[in-house]
Amino acid sequence: MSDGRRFDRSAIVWGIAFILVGVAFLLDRLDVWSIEPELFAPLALILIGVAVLAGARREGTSR
Amino acid sequence: MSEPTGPRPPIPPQRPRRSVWDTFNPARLVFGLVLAAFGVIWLLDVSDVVDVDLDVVLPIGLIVVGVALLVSGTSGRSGGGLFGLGVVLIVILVLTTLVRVPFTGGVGDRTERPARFADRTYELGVGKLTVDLTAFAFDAETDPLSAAIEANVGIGQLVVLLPARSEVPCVSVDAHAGIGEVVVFGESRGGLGPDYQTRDVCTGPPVPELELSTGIGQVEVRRV
Repeated sequence: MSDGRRFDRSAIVWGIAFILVGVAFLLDRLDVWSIEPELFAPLALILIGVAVLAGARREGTSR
Repeated sequence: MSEPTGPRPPIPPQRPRRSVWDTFNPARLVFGLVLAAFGVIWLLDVSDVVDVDLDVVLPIGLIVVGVALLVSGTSGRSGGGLFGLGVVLIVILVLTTLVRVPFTGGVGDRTERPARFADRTYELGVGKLTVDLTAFAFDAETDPLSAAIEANVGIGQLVVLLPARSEVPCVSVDAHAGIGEVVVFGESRGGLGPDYQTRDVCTGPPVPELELSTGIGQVEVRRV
């Protein structure tokens, strides 16, 4: 960054993930969309995997 | 007038402008705001000032935590307690989605025997709820041809007793358990979130339309 400010990639990824999950649950509670419980396990695995990837890159390079 | 020739006094370095995120730790700021907001909402709810639907508050809280983490991350901070708060909210949301437990209707064993054929709703928090439909009176002239009979048990057993097929030939069943077992006319389904939907071939009224659920436990529908 030109202004010297650094990003915490992991926090950003988890922030986006929380927002998406929150919106999904909100739509479910408002009966706009229905969450299928069968999706929980694979989606959780994907989220954790993406977060681990983001964290791994941060360790090797500058934040 | 001649200008002074001596060395100019050094210009004091300007302080860099500090943004609000430099002044406050965004993670702690939002963490505190979310906790305080939940406390206020809870207080208003128990004081009967407003009727708060926690089903909506929890996802909104998760979105706020996500936005705070995003802001925190873009300002180079890790987020600290926000991550833990978000995980706790997700765990609660997943559990409440898997197990819709209505903790209304009291505790204990209860038997309901409606006398007339009409729409009914029964709820029990914890225990055994028996809905005995074997003795209701039906008048084709005045009573509805079908009636929605809804029964929910938070934790425990829900049993619905139906008359013999000769008396009530047609019944619609929509049964669900968060965790447990659903047994409809002898057919059993168990595990996580078992469902059962059936509609008999209708030959005439009355048609009970059963909507049955339990958070944790068993739903059973049988004829006597």
